Amino acid sequence: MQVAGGMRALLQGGEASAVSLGWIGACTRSAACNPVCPEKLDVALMMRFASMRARGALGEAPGIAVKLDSGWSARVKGFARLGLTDQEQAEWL
Amino acid sequence: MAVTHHPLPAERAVFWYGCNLLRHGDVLRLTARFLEAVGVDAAPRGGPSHCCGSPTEHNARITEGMGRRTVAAFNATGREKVITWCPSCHMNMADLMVPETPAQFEAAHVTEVLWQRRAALQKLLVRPVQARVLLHRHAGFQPRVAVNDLVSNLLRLIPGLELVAEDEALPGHMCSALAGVPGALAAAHEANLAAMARHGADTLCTIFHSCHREAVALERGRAIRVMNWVHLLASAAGWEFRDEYKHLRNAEDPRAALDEAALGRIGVDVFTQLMEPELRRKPVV
Repeated sequence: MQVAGGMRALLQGGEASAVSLGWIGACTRSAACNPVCPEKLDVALMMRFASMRARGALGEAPGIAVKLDSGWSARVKGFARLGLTDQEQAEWL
Repeated sequence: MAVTHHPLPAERAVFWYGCNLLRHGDVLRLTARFLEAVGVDAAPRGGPSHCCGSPTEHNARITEGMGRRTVAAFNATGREKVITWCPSCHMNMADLMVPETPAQFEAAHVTEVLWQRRAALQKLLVRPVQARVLLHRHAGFQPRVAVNDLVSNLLRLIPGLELVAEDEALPGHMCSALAGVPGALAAAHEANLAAMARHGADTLCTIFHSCHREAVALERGRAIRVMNWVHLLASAAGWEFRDEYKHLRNAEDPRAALDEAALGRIGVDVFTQLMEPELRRKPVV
């Protein structure tokens, strides 16, 4: 309860315990939770939103460290210049 | 009784390939070609200007803005369907984007579209591909789109190809989801290598781009090959391609493997600072 309760608390704007944050942070989006939920909730989606809130999506202090990749956009565009023609880049990007 | 396949009518769509498939221009181009060949006029769109917001989920305001911009751009095309490639994009469209910005199109995954049009696809797949294939499966996207089954079925259209029976699926929706859990990516690769050995498979077939870019390094020092499902379809169609990412990832020296003209197009700084560290990364197993 302590673990899952943290997810619920985050979704309601509250705080989650360190144990709960650890669980949320380790979610790999397998969606294995949905078929075993006795209430038939979309737990995977709830975990997703809880994960966003735990990372400070609505301006809260992040409870889970956020890994920022400032080079992401330039990196994928670099690969595009490697693998696509000029015309493909002009039309497809 | 003979079964007659009637061709489906042509349709206009957007092929939303996402962001990170840009690492694999060959897969992007081949997929667009397959869609066109089966009767879908699918305009490829993607990259940071058509983002689902996934890279910015720590800031809901930015995520929402990116989603609005992308849905508006797709609405403006007047095309009735958006064909997705990336499972993150596909799920974000349903979970985050469309609830905020009404869409004037339906979304479908590329594997669903190709399977619906399999009568036309099968006519293209005339060259036998001698391969004993293990499919690289993940569990997470399967409840949304039965992609493990759809890709299996598409591979079974290829003459000569043997798909080994394996029901185990890896955690996550694709390999990038495992990167944040210590040891998880290595365990996934080891599980696939063990399954290949158990079944005598010589080819590991990836479904998604993030899996492919990690799995290609498994070829180093092993008598296996790693191909994407689109590569296998293209081989059966007799279409030429080169897996440029695998070529560079498995090169002794990625910079030396790149020709001067390509380095000039990319820019030395971009290659050195942003691409080369990824290409030189040690395999996890």
